[in-house]
Amino acid sequence: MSAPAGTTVRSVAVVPSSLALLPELASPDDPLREAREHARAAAAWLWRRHPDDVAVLAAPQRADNLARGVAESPGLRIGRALLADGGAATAPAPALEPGEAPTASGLLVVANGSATRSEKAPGHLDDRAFAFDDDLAAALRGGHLERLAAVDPGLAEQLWCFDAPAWCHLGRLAPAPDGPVCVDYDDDPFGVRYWVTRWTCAS
Amino acid sequence: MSGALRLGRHEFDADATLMMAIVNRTPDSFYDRGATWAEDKAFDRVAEVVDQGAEIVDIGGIKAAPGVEVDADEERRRVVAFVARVRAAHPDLVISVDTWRAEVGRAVCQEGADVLNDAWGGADPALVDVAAEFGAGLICTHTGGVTPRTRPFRIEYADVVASAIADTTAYAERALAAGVPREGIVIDPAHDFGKNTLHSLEVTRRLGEMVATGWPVLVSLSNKDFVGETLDLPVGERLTGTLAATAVCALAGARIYRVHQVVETRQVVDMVSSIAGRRPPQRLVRGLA
Repeated sequence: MSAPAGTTVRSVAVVPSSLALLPELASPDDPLREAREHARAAAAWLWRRHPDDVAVLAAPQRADNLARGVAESPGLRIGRALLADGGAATAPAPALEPGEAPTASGLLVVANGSATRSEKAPGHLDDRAFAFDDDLAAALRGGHLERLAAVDPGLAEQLWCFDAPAWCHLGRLAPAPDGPVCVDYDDDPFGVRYWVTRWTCAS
Repeated sequence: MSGALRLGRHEFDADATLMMAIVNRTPDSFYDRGATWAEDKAFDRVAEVVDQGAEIVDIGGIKAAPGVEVDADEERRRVVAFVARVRAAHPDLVISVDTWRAEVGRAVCQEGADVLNDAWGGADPALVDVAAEFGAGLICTHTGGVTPRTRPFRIEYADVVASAIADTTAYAERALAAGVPREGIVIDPAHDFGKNTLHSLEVTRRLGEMVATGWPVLVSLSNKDFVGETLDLPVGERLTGTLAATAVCALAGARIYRVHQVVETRQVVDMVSSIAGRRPPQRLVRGLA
């Protein structure tokens, strides 16, 4: 598969958008230890391949949090924190604006699946979550990014996946893998589906 | 500090602190897990907490966590007749009902409920009219606008305390404008509701700012997840942490404490009130005889 015309991205990493990945919200007993380690490692991998040339792709802040006075996308903050931590980035990585074509060589995507996978999940249990997340997983694992562009934003919101804008953006604009996708982490420890994946793209 | 309280037909002095004992009419609440689901068990529990000194019982028909839907009819079945039974047996007891629904509020007020405890921050805007119609008290909570029976998920605040004050005082003013007696309006930051643990800890730390609004403040801390996460303890082992948070809220000036453990909480609040100089020690002779 070849990259869409004008796209500069050569490496992509996907990490979860859990607020618990922010360093200021980490706790001594780290409930996300495994996911955090893989996310840090993925950010470090991206930075080593493209120092000072990584952009962050994340969904914008939710409307309810905007109303509570917090404007900045949490995914952007998470991505920048991971790059600063695991990748030793010293300046904030640029954010990809909605619909913007990436110009960086590295792309850190901060997004996860539904939050309705069990009765104890944040959004309780919605049986539709499993097929929804399996479709996302298959698209990521197989490098079928065009399927990400087709994520149903209405269904995503009902399943408490607020990252649909990021998935759709990645699907429409990012280049497909030129080899196998590396899946470092795939789990739902709190009823929320997380992935850490990495791939390189054809030049 | 806020002034005198008037909860339904019951009045309390400006310096009074009150224990509101939780009596659930649910099969599945997080702490008691159906211990008072059978009506006789719930009735016995009311007698027990009255004996322990609780001034208020808070009767709830729906657990806060998500789960099986409980519609208004089922909620009424769980609480209305029980309120009538408690009213008849305990004429001096303040009866609060934990409901967000105006139609349930109306039904329980008709049976003698004194307070409507809206744990979900005004989800049914008509509840204030019911409280006004019956002269009932109203607890105005802060939930950050979440839907009833949903868990907080990646909720963020620029300033959670400013949000809690803005939302609860706006709700209180709306209640006042609707005709709810001023002395019966209480604000509650609602620990854990629409908040993560750090939010609840900050609300506790800065509770004095809510007290400074002049509205009486209720706190509901008992065995909550913010205590559990702070100390990494399961439900059932959170009493000490709950009492620590209680002491901080008492020092800040909270008036009403919604609790599972009446005796322990009363002791903590009284001790802190005396430390703060608001309550005389109960018996003084040592060094004075």
